[in-house]
Amino acid sequence: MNFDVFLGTLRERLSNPIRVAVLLGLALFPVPIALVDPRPNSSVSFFHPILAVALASGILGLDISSGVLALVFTRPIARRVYALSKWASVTATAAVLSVAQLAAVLLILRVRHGSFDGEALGPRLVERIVAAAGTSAVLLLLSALGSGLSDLAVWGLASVAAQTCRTIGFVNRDDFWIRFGDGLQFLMAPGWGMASGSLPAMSVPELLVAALVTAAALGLAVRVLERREITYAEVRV
Amino acid sequence: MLRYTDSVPAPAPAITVAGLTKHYTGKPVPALRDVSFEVESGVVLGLVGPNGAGKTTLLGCLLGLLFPDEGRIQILGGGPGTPEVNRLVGYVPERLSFDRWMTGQAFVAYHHALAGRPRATRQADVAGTFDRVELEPSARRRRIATYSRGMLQRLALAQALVGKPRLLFLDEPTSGVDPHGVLLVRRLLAGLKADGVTILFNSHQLDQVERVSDRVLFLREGQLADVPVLGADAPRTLALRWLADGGASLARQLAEAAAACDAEILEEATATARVRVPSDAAAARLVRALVAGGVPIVEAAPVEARLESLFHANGAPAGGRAA
Repeated sequence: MNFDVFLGTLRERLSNPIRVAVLLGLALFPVPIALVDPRPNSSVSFFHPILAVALASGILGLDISSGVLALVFTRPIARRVYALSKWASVTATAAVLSVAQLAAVLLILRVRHGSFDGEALGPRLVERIVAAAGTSAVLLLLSALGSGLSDLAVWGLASVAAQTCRTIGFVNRDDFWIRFGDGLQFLMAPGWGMASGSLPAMSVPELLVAALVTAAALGLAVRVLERREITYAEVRV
Repeated sequence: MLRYTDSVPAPAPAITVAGLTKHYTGKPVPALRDVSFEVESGVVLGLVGPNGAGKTTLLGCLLGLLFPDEGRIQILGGGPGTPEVNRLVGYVPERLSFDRWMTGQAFVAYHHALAGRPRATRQADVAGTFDRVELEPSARRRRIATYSRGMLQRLALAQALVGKPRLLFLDEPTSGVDPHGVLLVRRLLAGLKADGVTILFNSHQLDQVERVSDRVLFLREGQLADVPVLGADAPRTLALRWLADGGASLARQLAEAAAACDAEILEEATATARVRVPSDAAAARLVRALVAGGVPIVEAAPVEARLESLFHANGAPAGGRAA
């Protein structure tokens, strides 16, 4: 990993005021819910991979469309190192934000309502870290395939499609569509929901599948980037 | 004085290209066809050709940003785009689209780090490079988003030089730059050449290419059209003017002198002529012969830049520009 790219990515991500505002809004979203609703599922089960999406969207695509990548790739840094350093940067930031959000919500639930079972804390923490890593990896892959914020568009469309499939399944009482929707959502945000519901123990097979999807997304992203030609034709000045 | 390259000698030649061919998907004609050439270390090589000639594609292949279909490229003894080679390479892109959210100073420091230069010398190297490209200290601390075209050009040069390259790729380094900036680029290139840096210089401005280049690559329709050496041995066109009272005998004397010097009369009028001479020596012989023969010469001057002549001779339309 290249630490300069790691830090540079973090600074670049947090230099955009719109991105920072969205991140703050998403990070604080479950806090007022926890203040008024004592049920853990209302606040703790917030769709936290969205934090990783807000941080990772355009992670490579914006470098391609801005022309920055052409300069960086004339530097002595391997493409895979560049991609993985960027992924590590957004994953670490998303995981810290996500865990901080969880901590804030649990603290409120405990102090205000006394309604959270501390034994479920471990699986929740693991789930958030795995989901941050997995979602960032998927965004990295989608970003390597396109340019600009096309990864965000594809991710959003896939998530809407997943939700639509689940709705169709519930309405028609058709397990196939429910499972298909769940699977698609799992591919977009690997790991999310492993510790959901009424705070069950973590599903180890689900954890393994999430790790596998994350590794596959990272491997594919690196492969795509190493084979990708960089031209200024894609640059939008 | 701060030097802009380490003193490790580069292997010769700096660039070797053999049989380079590159197609783009969906395009029937290849962008590059069987291009071969070598560039010795320390040489300034100009790259010119009409629109769509393949110059940008060639630069992309040499930088490892594009992948050729066939052929072989060696840059400083290694493959293009490899970390080992990129450690020795600097690049000024035509499109000056950088990390606009950064300050100029942070941007150049970031590229100093990416170039693998030691952290201990970062501050001094960055400040020295900015001094060299004459970017005001107040501008260095401003966000790149606020930079003018001229400042962006200086920033581009700074990021290319901060890694102390042994091979520099310049894509239109003087495009849109004021005369002061053009002179700066020329001074920088002269200094880099003196330090032994090999430079590949692509520019629309033929006079700039001619001023700084030792050799020129002409690309046309993806093929290498010519590799002329610029200097006293290159042909040029002379405009001659004499006092208009010599009548037909002067025209005859001009024809005889031109034939003796292997020159070609392109155009002749009552008191003027345009003559293409094969070299500076031939031009001097022609003028000497005319003066010795009693022709009242009042002016003998090149009518166009030497490179422009070569450019037209290589099939570019008259009045056209390299691109």
